[in-house]
Amino acid sequence: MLYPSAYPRPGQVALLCEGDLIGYEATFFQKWTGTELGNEPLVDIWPCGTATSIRGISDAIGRSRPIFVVEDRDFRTPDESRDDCTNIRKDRERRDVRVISWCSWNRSEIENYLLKPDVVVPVFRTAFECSEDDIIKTFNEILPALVVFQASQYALGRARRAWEPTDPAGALFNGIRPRPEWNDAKTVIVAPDHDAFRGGLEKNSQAWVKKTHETQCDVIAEFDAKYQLWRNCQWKDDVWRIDWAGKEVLQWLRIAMTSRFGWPVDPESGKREILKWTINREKRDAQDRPIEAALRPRMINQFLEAMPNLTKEIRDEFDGMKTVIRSYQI
Amino acid sequence: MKLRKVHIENFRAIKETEISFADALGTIRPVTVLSGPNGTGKTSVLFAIVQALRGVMGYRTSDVPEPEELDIHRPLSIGGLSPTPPSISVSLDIEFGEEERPAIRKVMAETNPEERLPNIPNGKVRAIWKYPPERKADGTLKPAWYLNRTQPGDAVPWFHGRKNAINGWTSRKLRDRSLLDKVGGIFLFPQDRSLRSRVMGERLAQDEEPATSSERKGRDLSSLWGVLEYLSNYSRSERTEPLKPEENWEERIRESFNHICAPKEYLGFMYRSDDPLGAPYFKDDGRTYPLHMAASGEQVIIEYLARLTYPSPMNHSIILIDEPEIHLHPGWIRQLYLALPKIGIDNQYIVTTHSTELYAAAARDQALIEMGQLIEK
Repeated sequence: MLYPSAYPRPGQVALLCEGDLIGYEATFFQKWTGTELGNEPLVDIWPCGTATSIRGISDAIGRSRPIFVVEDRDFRTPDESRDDCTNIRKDRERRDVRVISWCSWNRSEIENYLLKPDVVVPVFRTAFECSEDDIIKTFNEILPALVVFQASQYALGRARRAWEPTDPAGALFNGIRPRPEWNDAKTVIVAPDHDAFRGGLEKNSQAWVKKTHETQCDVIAEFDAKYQLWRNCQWKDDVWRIDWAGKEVLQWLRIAMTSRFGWPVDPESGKREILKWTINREKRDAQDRPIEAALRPRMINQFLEAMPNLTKEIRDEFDGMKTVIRSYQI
Repeated sequence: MKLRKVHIENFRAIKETEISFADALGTIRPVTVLSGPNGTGKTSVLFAIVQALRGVMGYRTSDVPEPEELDIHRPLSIGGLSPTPPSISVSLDIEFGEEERPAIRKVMAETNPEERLPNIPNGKVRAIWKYPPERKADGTLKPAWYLNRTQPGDAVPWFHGRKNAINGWTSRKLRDRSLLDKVGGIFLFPQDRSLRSRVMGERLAQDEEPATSSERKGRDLSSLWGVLEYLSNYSRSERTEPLKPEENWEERIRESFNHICAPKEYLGFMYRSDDPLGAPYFKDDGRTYPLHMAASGEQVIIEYLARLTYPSPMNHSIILIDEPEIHLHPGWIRQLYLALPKIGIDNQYIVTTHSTELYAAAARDQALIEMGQLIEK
């Protein structure tokens, strides 16, 4: 049940996503909800940074406004992602957070949708004054070089997932209660039974220690499997557009393109300069940030423009979100 | 025409500033939002653009006062005024688009063939306006609206396109009406200090008149009420060829309004049995009501849409909007921001704001220019 609050935004629904305040998700959702839903209902966009932060912020605002959550699928399978979202939703609803939907992208990240040829080609062709062939050639060079990274991130994701049940937070207090209770009949506070709690804690603790030893994840096998599957990825394939970390692909595309075709150092004269990228990661990210920022609105605008002509799978995904938000009785 | 860059010196709140309206790739943004605390010069930027172009473009507005001495930004100095009194200088880097340039040439050829249009490489012209104005050879001052200089030097006639197109169409010198839609102009929506009088104009006075149309005064096309009636009549008048959808201005206004202001709707100009004079009517939740009963926000939105349509749709134009958030719900502000690039063809909107909604939307589009912080570091 919502309670009256000084919710500091005008919307009737809060849409929570990853990314920063001016990131791809926020930019996309602001335009997409405005165009597709208008004011019916009016949706506030809350970019939360990471999936973990979404959970925290859902606690902060989900009792004031119904929330619609979209998080990255990352390297999870669609089933895993669906199960995770269902579990988180149930957990939030137990805390009185009103959830319209808690889902993840069908693709790894929002950037993956921008890797569709109808989106990435027109934007990069204009920005770098090059041909479609130049862009395809560049993709075919960077994709094989990214296979190790993508497979490693997948393996890391599997390892994290395998070790998740060893998190003591959920296991140690299973079935035991350290909190006191209230007795209405006697109007007194009743402390938990120390011996019962300690006994349960000991049992849970032993089970947890056993579990940490049992948990296994063959990181090498996971890495090898994906490496073999992805090693020959090329522009014409679609698997990398769905399952890879799209953010990384786009960054390396920007690096390759600015290195070959330059970047305007003086937008007024149009003078371009070839950028150097043999620098450490922090400097690379810093140099890339304004380039990404300049291209980001163009990518989002192009995605929205191309959406009616994209695959049915993509159109259905976004139509589904629209239907769920619209049909929810606020 | 589009404004790539403006350089302003000594105008109102501005000592000196330069603003680029192009993005990092050099493309002029369809919408640029200027934000900053009060007194940082947001409105001054809009007024400076109007002052520089109003004369040469024949843009008549009472919303920007004629320039005067008090507009000159003077630094404080001990002992009164500084030794060399500063003057206002506004330099505009204007670009006439590829579709617009041949249209201007045709307009000028049909309406004022004596005026020569020089070649302008890539359609680029720098226009410089100064105040106080220069003196003529006889020692008298040139008019305040006089454009001091252009680069190339003889490019002033390029700015006469829209004025000549409208005058030419009115005087029937211009035969091709479509040229009106291809030549850009300039338009300012001021801060809303006089909404009711602007929206209603003489409509209130006409309420006192006899109801039959033969006894009524002519339409007041300076009022929004009159413009909406004109556009409605234009849409519904009998013609040999059916009206093209893109020329059904009332319908286009209705579509834009309904998108921005949903679930409210603009129904169009209607004559009802209880209102023989007619009025623009709106609908909300089954209730219909005339313009003067509409909420201020509805009046603002319908005014934007109508003014950008009459006397001809503003395309290829520079549209200045000062703090549109006044009267508008944040949701409508968001929708207006999204709708602006779709209103007209290839227009450039320069908008000032204190609205966090507009600020956020523009920041995400890399279209925000911050003109100062509340506390300068």
